[in-house]
Amino acid sequence: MSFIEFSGVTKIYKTGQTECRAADGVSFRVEKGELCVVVGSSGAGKTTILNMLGGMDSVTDGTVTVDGREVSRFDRRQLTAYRRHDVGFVFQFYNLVQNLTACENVELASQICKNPKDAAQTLKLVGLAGKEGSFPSQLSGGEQQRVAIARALAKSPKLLLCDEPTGALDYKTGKAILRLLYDTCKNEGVTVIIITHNSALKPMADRVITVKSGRVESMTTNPHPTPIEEIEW
Amino acid sequence: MKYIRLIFREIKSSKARFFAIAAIFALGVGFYSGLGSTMPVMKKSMDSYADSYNLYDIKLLSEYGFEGSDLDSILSVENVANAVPSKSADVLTDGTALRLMSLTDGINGVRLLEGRMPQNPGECVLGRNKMSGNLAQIGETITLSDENDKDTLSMFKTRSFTVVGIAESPVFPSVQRGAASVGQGALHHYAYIAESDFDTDYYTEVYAVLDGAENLQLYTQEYEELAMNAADALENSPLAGVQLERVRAKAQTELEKARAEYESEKSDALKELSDAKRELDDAKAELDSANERISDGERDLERGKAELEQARYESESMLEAAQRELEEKSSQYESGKAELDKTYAYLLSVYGKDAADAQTVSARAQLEAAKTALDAGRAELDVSRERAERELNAALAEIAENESELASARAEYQSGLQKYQSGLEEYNAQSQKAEAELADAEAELESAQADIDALEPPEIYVTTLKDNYGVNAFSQDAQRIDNIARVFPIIFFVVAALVCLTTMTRMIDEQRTKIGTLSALGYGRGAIAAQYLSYSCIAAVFGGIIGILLGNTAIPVVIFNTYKILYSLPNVVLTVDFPKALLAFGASLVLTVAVTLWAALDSLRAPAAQLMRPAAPKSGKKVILERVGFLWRRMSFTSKVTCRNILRYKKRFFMTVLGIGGCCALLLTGFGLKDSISGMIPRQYGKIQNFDMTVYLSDDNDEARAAVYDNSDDCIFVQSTSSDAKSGSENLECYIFVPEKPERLSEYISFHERKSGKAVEFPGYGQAVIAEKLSSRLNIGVGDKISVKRTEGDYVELTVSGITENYIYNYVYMSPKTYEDMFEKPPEYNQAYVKAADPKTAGENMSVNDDVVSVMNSQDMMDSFSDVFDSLNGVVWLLIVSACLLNFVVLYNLTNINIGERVREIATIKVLGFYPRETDAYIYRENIVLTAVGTALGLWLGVFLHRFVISAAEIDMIMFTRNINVLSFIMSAVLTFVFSALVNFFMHFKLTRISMTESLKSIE
Repeated sequence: MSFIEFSGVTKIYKTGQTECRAADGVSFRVEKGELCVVVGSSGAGKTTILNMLGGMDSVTDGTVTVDGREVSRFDRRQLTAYRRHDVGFVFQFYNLVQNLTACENVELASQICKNPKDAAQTLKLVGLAGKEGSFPSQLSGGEQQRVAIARALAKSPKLLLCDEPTGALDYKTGKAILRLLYDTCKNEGVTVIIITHNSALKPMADRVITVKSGRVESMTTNPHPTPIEEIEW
Repeated sequence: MKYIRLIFREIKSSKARFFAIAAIFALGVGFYSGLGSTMPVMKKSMDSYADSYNLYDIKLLSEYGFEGSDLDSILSVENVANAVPSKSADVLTDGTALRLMSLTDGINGVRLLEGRMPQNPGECVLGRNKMSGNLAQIGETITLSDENDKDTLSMFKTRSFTVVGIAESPVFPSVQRGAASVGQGALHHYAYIAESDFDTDYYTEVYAVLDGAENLQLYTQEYEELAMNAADALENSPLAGVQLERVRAKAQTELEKARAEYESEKSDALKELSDAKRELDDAKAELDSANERISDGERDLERGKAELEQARYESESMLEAAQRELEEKSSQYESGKAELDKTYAYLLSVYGKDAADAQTVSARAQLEAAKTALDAGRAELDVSRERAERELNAALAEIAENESELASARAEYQSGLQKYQSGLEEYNAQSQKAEAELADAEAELESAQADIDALEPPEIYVTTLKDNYGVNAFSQDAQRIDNIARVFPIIFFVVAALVCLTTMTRMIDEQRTKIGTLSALGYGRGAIAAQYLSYSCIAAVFGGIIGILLGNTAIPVVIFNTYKILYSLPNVVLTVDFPKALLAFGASLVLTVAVTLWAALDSLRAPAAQLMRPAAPKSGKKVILERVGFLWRRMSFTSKVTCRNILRYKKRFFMTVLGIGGCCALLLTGFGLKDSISGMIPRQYGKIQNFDMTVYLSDDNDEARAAVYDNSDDCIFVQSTSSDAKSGSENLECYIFVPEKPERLSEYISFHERKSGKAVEFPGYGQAVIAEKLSSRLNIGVGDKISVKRTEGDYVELTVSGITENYIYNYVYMSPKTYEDMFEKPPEYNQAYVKAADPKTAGENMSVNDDVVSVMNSQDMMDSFSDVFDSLNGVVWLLIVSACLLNFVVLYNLTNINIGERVREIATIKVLGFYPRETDAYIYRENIVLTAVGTALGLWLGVFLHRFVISAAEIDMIMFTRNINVLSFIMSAVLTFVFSALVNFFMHFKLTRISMTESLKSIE
């Protein structure tokens, strides 16, 4: 059994009379320790997939299984616990609490999970040694995203979900962040899902899932991913 | 058109925000204009009551009473439209004071509540008593008790009245009915009876209404001027002179009558005396003549007796002589017979018989004739003797009769004489007495004449409605509400402005991009600002209208209804105080505009391009606390976060703290007001004054003192007279208090400072101890001078030697010596403070004395004061409830904004796996801390606000306690927290509704 299994997952949003099929029978699987890129254009349904995978939204139909547990059947509380202990999130806009220092932002996550990593250690890991006491506004975008990654990693998650992690970053910084994510995946053994509209990232992934109009268009695996530095876009 | 649609769409999409602004302005405007219109509503209601029942404007009392003819003089005074005389008397029934009044036609209408009006003699309609209950029910009888003095009872034709109706009279709008002339001093009940049930020929008072008074509102200056002018005119009218002339003429006529009577009685008496004298003299003459007659009789009797003796002697001797002659003749006859017999015997023997016979015939015949003569003589003698004897006996009897007759005549004379003598004595006594009596009567007449000559014009007491206890008290109560109304709404407005400011700031922040877009599209700053101005002004106007509508109906009605406990007013007459309402309205609009512009200023100044970009998030900062390393290190992570977050948005921090603080201060003020009001009574009558009753004396004399001494366990006499105290430009009504025995005063009144409790010494010579209110109002302390009015315009200066805790009336205490020297007259002790185990009985016993004007039971005073202030408590509760309301609106709104600003943050921590409770706590912790800080600030501010409100709400004669109970602090804090918790509870749902997908959205 794969680490992540989506089978026939459908998500229908209802707004008044209109029905919107954001996901329409999505099925795919991701193995443990893989770096998976979900790629698709705007509105293709990748964020919906992320929401369901991350336990932020329920499914209308189908099953989502993570590490042998059927997430799609979790109740609200179980979902919260799942997010708390199993999933780490990296947002496009970092979503750091402005009022907390880098270290404190990491602690915000680590203080609530079972076996957290040391916050300062994690910051060092993401290359932010010496910036522990800085506030987000004192950090560059890349640094902020590093803090976000550190925050996600500090929880020792099984799964790292990244929503357009480079979306708000310049080319160079974006690459550095992707490198960090890749390294994290390989060194820590964390399954990393990167959601992006940038198809250029496909070569760096172990597995690429292409989404279009709420369906999985294709799923391919890269036995030999290209190092990030070699990818240009 | 599109523009307006835009605004309305904006309102539709942000209902909570719109209604928050509207609600806060509704509260502010509603409170300001509602509380502000309460006094006008109360006064107008009283005015309408007075008008619809034709309540008098002027009441006249005269020492001489009134007669029907006096009305002409009263009606001739300018502005007097109508005048109706009335009879009344205070009587005791079952130990309570009842005023019986005659029904007056056309003035002082009676509002019948049940039953009917009196139609027959001996019926009455009884005034309702809401406090202690009606004196009797319909159908029951009220009987004037025997305790009433005879003069009072003689004023009525009957002593019992059947209650046929229950009514209320505008003359007694308050449950406190003022003073009574009987019983323990307070009037409790009143009843109206037919005038014909009074047995007096004079009226006790006259009620008058004035021209134009109906069109003027009671309590207005115009009305009071009208009334005062009329009162002056009446006082200066010839009424007193007319009454004097009338009374004098009447008295003179009566005196003349009395004099005539005296004269006739005098002459009668004199005539009687002289008659008696003559009678006595006659009797004396008669007696004398009787005495003479008796003496004559006696003399005659003696003579008769002697004559009789003579006659008896004569007749006896005559009879004896006749006896002797007879016996001689008898013996002659015997011897003749014997001779004859012898001769015959011879002859016979000699001559025979014939011859003898013949021979002896002549002799025999002779003898026979002699014998016959003898017998006849004998018989004659017997008859003579018998007749003599009979005659003698008759004479004797006559004499005896005369004798007894004389004796009885004598006895009669003697008794007659005795009678005469006693009669004479009596006459002498009577005549002396009559003389004295006449002299007395004469003197009496003389003095009566002198009295009449000395008659002075009667004192005419002209009072206006201002002197009516209930009518005046009502306006004072209304004034008190108004004093509070001046202070409270200001806080509401401040809070409203704060709420509006934060809300609009948030709104404009949220719509930054939109502003940028509009700006980029070429809309001018004015147009953009106008949109927000319109939004907030529509909210303010909407709230203002609702506030005015609700505030002007609900608040006056609620307050009016609480006062209905104390006053009997039929209906509330709502009136909108338009200037106040418009002022509130205008103030709210100005505030809104100012606040919105201020909030919008930053965004409007920024160039469009900058606005299109997301605002740079407010950067985090180290807080001061972090510099205190040992403390910061010890804080848990969450408290560090809370601490940072609180201090991050300083503006919001101050808004929230001020908002919560304001509400908490309001709560504390409300509770504190209640404490101050209700706490004053037990302190005044427990801690300060320590006696059971106050006795008011009209004159300080031995009998009055005896009446007080005899009925009390212990007492002291004091002088307490109304005066005026001033210092600089401030002045305040006060009472000059002079105890007769200063050394004993401490047993009755405790002199101590309020805060420290330190005892205050009785003032020395030239010094005075003053009540605290005097000190605070006149702004004088120990060692300063206080000026006390001696006579009009003439003040004396005393040195303040101490300030003592006191709440009711403003006393200036001084020694008798100081008073006597400063005021140039000895003190007149007109009150007695009395300790008595049974004040009720003691009071009744003392009241018997004429110089005991009234007796006030301390317990009764406590009760009546408590009644008054209990009604104020209703108002306090209204304030507390609205403070709670305000508290809720403020907290809800601010928390709402807080959450609105941090949706992204909250969504993020939810994504991070915070449980709902942890998410709530993340926000609530801040709320709780802010509430705590706000509460602390509020409790601190509340003390000052309370002090301010207290000084505004209290009337001159009274000082409320400045103390706020610990419980009130606790209650205010707890209530603030309860509302905070309540708001948190509501916010929980809002927090749950925040979607985690918000975290994925780009920053707008």
